Amino acid sequence: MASPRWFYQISGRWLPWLSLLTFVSIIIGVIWGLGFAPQDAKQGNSFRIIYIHVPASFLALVGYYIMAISGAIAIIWKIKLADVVMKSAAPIGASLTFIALLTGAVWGKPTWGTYWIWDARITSMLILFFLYLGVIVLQKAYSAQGLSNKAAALLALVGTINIPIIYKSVDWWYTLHQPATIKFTEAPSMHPDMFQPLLIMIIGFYLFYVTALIVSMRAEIIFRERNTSWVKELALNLKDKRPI
Amino acid sequence: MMFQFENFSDFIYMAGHGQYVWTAYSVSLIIMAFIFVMPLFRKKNIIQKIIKKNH
Repeated sequence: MASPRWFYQISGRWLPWLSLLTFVSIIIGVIWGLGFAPQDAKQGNSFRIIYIHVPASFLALVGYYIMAISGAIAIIWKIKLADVVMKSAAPIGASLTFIALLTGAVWGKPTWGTYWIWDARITSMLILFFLYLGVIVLQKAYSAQGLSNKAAALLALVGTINIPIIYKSVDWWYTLHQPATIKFTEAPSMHPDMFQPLLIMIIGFYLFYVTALIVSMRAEIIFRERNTSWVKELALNLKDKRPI
Repeated sequence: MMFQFENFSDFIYMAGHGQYVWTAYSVSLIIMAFIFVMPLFRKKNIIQKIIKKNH
């Protein structure tokens, strides 16, 4: 159980279904958000950007916890698979953070009149992006793989302090960024016609995250185990077919 | 639930916000497609190297 080989085999069975579900939910969410959700009374059509912005920001934060926790598990219990999770989660999280920043900037121009402002929420989100980049760089920093992973996991753990700061920044400081539309403790302050496509997109982004993580982990597992007999056997079995 | 725009060019223009909305959606979806496809190519490359080495 929980060996890279076991994970490779079982994830191969889930992957087609997960990919299909991801694709379908994001397509539905995009069409709904772009064409069918009513426009916002104040913001007009630029509001449609939140259907990308909110789910991407959400998963950027969740993904950071996933990366940091698996990094800790990898150091403390020396579980190989946790190390693979940490390594694969970093570039996905960095990309989602980049998407959150980019869509926020593009939305800010018609709404606030500026692409960028050094606001508490936006600045802490930029720090998150640099933390992700730091973890990616550290993973490649030392020639001894074990040392690299330890340094990266340590940075990831220290950086978790930033997550509650991002989450609470809109309440703690006076900022331009609007407070959260969805809270875990209250009903959403959004009209159902606008909220339903957002919910679909959040589910879609969650599915995307899991699917992308699995795809990336499978490549990493094959790379790390390239000299083992099971990977050689797998490669030679795929020789006659097209390797995917 | 109904389509919010009169016609296709209205949908593209989005009352002046089209450039922002379409930029945000297209760049984001391209990045996501990239994240998904890159590891598939990486894996394919590694497997082809293993096949070559064992020939």
